[in-house]
Amino acid sequence: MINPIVKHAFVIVVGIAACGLLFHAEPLLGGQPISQDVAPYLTHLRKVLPDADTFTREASVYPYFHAYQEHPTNGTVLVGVAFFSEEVGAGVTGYSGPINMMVGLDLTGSLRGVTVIDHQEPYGPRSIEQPIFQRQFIGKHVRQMFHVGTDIDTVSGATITVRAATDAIRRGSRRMMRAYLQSRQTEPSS
Amino acid sequence: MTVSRVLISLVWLIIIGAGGLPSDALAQSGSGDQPATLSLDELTALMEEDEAQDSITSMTPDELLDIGGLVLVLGIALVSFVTKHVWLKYGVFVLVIGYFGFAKSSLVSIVNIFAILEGNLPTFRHGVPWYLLIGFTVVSTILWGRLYCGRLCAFGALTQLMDRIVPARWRIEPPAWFDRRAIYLKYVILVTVLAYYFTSGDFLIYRYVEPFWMFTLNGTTVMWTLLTLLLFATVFVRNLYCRYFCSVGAALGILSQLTMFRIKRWRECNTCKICEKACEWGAIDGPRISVAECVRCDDCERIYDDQDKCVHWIVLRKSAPREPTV
Repeated sequence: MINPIVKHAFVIVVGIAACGLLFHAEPLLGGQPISQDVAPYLTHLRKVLPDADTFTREASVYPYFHAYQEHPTNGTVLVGVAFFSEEVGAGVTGYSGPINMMVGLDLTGSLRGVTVIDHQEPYGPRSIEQPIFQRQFIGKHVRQMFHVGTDIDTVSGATITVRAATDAIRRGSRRMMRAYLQSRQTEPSS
Repeated sequence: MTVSRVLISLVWLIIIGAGGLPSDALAQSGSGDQPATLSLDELTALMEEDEAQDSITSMTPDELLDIGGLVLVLGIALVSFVTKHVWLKYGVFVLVIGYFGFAKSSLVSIVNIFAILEGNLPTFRHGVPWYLLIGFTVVSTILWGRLYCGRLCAFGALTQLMDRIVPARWRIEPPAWFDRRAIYLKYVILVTVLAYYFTSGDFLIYRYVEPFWMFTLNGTTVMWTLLTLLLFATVFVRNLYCRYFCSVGAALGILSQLTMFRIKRWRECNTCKICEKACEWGAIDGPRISVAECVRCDDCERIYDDQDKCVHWIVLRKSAPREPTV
């Protein structure tokens, strides 16, 4: 009844998928092991927090980054925080895989910059990778709604990708600010 | 057609309902008289708002409109399949080229197969249209066969429209011995691309194995050159890509082995060749219809229903006087 060649194709596809899942369990793309070091992320960090001079890796509720400015009179001043959306529990899956964003915020809760770390979206290169998408978030406050179609532009053909990335940015930023405020409260000296 | 009318009015209701929704989400955020500094309580509230957004009831008019549009298009395609109306079919082709092609660029792609095999399903909240389209594709394939290929795929619709427009005398029918082997090329492509993806992790390979990106009008010179060659060849060999190269079609071909409601065949089909000749897809081989190749275009079913064309009815009519009642 079943065409033998189609049946073989099916067996091979299932076989490949099984092998693929074994090898791919730690995805080659999404899963670069997160380094405790700042150096590998400097390019991204400079992009999302352009005013900062130095960065440190921090960990409270989640791992994230502190950004400092070297001030001639006040010395080293904390000016912002940055995070990977996947690390603060704002992981999203877009059209065809996890999307990891990095977002930089100043200490009042305004976004200073956004960049894409990882994605597998077919139309990603012409949507979330574009500066025109990423620039829309600069200056937005975590209180704002970040809503595709309202205050964030839709990209035709990449709706799911753009919605998922926007969601990761909004959720992540809110969680980040909360974690930051919590860490301030537990060490009131600074 | 009452069924279609009910369906269409339902969809309009959804769309109108979506337009009239009070946009709570919009009203909430704009209030500007918040204190300058954030408090923990405020952030907790904002995070709770995020959690609440996970529920389907928090859909915005924009998203509901998207879903309504998709349901409408799927509904019209289904109506055209059920009614077998030939002009409605061509209407659907134009509709899907516009909607799934240029407007949404959401064709089922090899990338979806990567994602499904890896278990990378979109977050449900943003992916409702994705789940609807993939769900419809899978369910309709299991019920009737590769309905997606024949009705919803914008590229397939484009080549079928081309076939309608291009003069028949230009057509080159591949010889049967060639066709019989070449149809398996798509399975080879599917397997190769999957093996390549799972070893390299390079999902961008989709750009060279399928032409579906064309509707985004975004491509490199190499991609446009390949596409031009493909479309040029399609002028002469109808549905060339779908029949021999499409990896999504191959995957659906595998799935279509489960098809429940197949096209019926008469005893007369053993000898009659009318449908075999009419089939744009080379899916009919004597009495047998290959489900993996058939995209349910209805061409043969329209012949079955035509009492002046289908040998079954002609034989029945001629034998009627001799055997009055059956």
